[in-house]
Amino acid sequence: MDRRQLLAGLAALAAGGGAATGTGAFTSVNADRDVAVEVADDASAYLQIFPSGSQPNAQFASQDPDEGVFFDFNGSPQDVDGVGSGQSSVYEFRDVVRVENAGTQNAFISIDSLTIDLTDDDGSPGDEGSALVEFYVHETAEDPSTDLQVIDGSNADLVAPVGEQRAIGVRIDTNEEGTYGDIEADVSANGGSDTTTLVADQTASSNNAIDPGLPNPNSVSPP
Amino acid sequence: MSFDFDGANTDGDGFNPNSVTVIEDLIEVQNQGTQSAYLGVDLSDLTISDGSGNEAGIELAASIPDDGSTTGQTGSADDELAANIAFQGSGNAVGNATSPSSYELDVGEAVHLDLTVDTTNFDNSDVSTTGTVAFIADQTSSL
Repeated sequence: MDRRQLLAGLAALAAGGGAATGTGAFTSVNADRDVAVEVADDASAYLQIFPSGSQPNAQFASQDPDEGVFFDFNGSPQDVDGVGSGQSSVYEFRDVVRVENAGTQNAFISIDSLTIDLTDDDGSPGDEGSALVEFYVHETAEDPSTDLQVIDGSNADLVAPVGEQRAIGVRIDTNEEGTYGDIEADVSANGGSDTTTLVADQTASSNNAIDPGLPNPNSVSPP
Repeated sequence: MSFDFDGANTDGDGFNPNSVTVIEDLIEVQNQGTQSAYLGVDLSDLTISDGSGNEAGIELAASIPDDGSTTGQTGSADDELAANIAFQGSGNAVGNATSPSSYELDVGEAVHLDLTVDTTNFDNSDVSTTGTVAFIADQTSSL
């Protein structure tokens, strides 16, 4: 798999009969079968990924119908006064995006964590440390006092039952000392070094499959 | 038999853009004839385009459990898949396929096919298409 791109692999089972079968001898069989295919945007595809509706932290995510979800914590597109995460800090943003499995089988979801080089005042990336961006769920969605689990496929995977939404949060750790300039990360599906990968698979990558249950509210619509 | 990936049977409307989707064990093909046959799949009449000149990669691959019989292949079923493959369309090569090939199906043998659709180079979503897939079983390999 090409892990440079936002990747949504959803294995599903569709049982079918024999495609080219017979009951006797044949020299050659050529059988045409019809296929109908649609490519939908992320908010309505088999694996739906979209900002968390009217939830407060949904404003840190946006959705391009063609490119998919991207996260922006640099303050520029949101209706907030702050312009970014503080230095030497850990920020947790609950319920930024929702995922909904609109396929035919339950799936395990993981999202790669990112280490993003920070840009200092002269625009040179990496001179002043980096920020760790992780995607997480609480063990119980409606109780933020329960343990936080990073769903990076190594620490944990998120269980995504068919037809139900799950809320995903973002944690940003700027614990390295330094003089920070702008923190910019385009976590979109356009490629580049700041692109993360989401995987939905029939098997969990880790030994820690977390099903936090339905968030509150149980279901939101894409903004 | 027909294939519907347009949301007719699911809540989702279709494949995600900018993604690779694998549908395992989509169909089974069994040779119920009296002689072994070479199975091939022609995907040339199925093109998924984003309307801007970019085509999705499409692959139907034979899923062969890894029994260790293929020299140099160990471990997962994917390893075996890479050795035996696969029938892909005119779009980008996807999955483990390196070139179109046929699979010799012995009498009574069944093979399961996995579908892979690669839309990572799409610039647009909300596109739909129809086409056909040709399943070919012949006494000689045409690929």
